[in-house]
Amino acid sequence: MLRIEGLEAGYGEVRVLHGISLEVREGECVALVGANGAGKSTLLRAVSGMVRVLAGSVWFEGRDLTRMPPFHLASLGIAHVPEGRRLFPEMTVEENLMLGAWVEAARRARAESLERVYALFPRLKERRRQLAGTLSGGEQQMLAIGRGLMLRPRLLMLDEPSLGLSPRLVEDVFSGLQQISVQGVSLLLAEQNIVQALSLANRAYVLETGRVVMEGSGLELLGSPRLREAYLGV
Amino acid sequence: MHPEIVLQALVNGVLMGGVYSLVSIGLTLIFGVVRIVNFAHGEFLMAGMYLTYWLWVLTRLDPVAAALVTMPVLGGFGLLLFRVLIGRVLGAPDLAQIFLTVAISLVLQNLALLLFTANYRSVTVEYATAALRVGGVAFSVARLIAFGVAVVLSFLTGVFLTRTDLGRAMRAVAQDREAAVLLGIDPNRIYGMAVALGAALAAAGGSVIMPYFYVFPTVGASFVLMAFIVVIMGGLGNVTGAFLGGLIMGVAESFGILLVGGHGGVMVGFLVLVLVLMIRPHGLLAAPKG
Ligand SMILES: Nc1ncnc2c1ncn2[C@@H]1O[C@H](COP(=O)(O)OP(=O)(O)OP(=O)(O)O)[C@@H](O)[C@H]1O
Ligand SMILES: [Mg+2]
Repeated sequence: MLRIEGLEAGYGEVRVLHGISLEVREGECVALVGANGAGKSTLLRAVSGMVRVLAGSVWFEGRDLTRMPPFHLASLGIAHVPEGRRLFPEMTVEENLMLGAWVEAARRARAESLERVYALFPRLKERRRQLAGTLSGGEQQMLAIGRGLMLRPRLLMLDEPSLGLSPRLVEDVFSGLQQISVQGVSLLLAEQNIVQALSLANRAYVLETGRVVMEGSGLELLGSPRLREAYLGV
Repeated sequence: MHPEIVLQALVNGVLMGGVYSLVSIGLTLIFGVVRIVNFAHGEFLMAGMYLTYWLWVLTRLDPVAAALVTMPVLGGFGLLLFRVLIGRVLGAPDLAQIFLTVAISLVLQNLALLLFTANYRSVTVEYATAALRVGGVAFSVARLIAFGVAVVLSFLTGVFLTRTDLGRAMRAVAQDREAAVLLGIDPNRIYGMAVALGAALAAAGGSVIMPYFYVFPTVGASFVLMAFIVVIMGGLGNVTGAFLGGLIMGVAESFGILLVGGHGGVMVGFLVLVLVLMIRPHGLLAAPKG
């Protein structure tokens, strides 16, 4: 469904991604792991058209995303929950969620989607009238994911959903992602929390300084001595 | 000083302040959403006034009713201006943006001068001098109507921003443009609408003051100066703050004129601005951004 080929991208003159190829198939959960600065966020941002693509292509169901205005992606069913959550801080929880269903198709199912998100994250329902900027870190992350789900995406890209959360909240977020994945949404998950991400993922890619250095099934990589040594220190 | 004189100054100030609020809401909206300082905002008001004037001269259309015409016309003009000019400098350095809107302002002023000469023009409606008296205080009917329309339009703008999808999208773009794009919101469409709405509100302000105000090519200058003070006082991009700020500035100006005379209005206005900023450096309602 998503196919990236030879992608090179960067900021200004600085090239950050050096020819990345990867694929997310229908219904799959794919993890993107790697250290700080490996280029995970840049990769997701290149898919969304937020950084300039210098070479290569990004195909989503037969369409070249690099030739599309960035706001167009949501209407194709691609949701991107960006690094740092990027909520609208001076709007309520519910307003943030409603904006997630901005595109026409999602708007028609908005009331139902809202109930679904509230069922997945009951905390959000309790806080529906609260300003997003006043939520705790964990609640903000749930809201960011919930806002992405309001699109009823076919592909959900998440950038470090566990960042800054306590271990318990990380569990909550990952069990939420598990449920979303089971419902058939394809996931592309950038994470530094390697163990959690690889346990959830069907397949994973390891990024190092803008290149894919390893790929395989989540379990395969979890068991790989090279990965364990480089990233888990064991 | 007689208490009635003080009370009268207060009433005059509040009634004028409502119009300042309306014009300032348009300006702060354009700034908050599009992130551009619109130095041509006063010319939207000026154009609204001339259009109202000519509608009255040619068809005797009441100036307040003329707002129903000037709002869509100036709104459309604002949209066009965004599509053709303003939209092109969005990524450009601040200075380029400032030059552009200042240039638009100058062009429109000179266009008005060319078309309508520098003469002061006014309309004469039947209720021009009518007033309601409460105790010793007079409420000019024309000013009451202008105030009423301004408050209603300000309120409707607030309803639009908080209760409609498009309004929420506008606030979303103002708060985090990139996040809004990821949700499928086309920022250029929203920018165009914000400029259109801002221009329409300024034009409405121009229409409703025609019964008691002269129009001339540079009439926008004094209003835009006031609007800038209000926008800064209210907190950049803050619509509620602009509404309150407009009322405060109306009263400040009125007392300035009462206490200092003719040109005291703006002076006292600046003084009040300085005071407000000393207590709240980010404006009346804006939370300090870290
Ligand atoms: N806006 C930017 N301008 C210039 N360089 C940037 C910018 N954002 C990121 N970079 C650089 O691009 C490289 C990759 O960064 P990126 O954010 O994609 O890494 P990441 O894998 O997401 O890291 P993290 O786990 O810390 O989020 C880094 O060297 C970073 O310094
Ligand atoms: Mg990152």
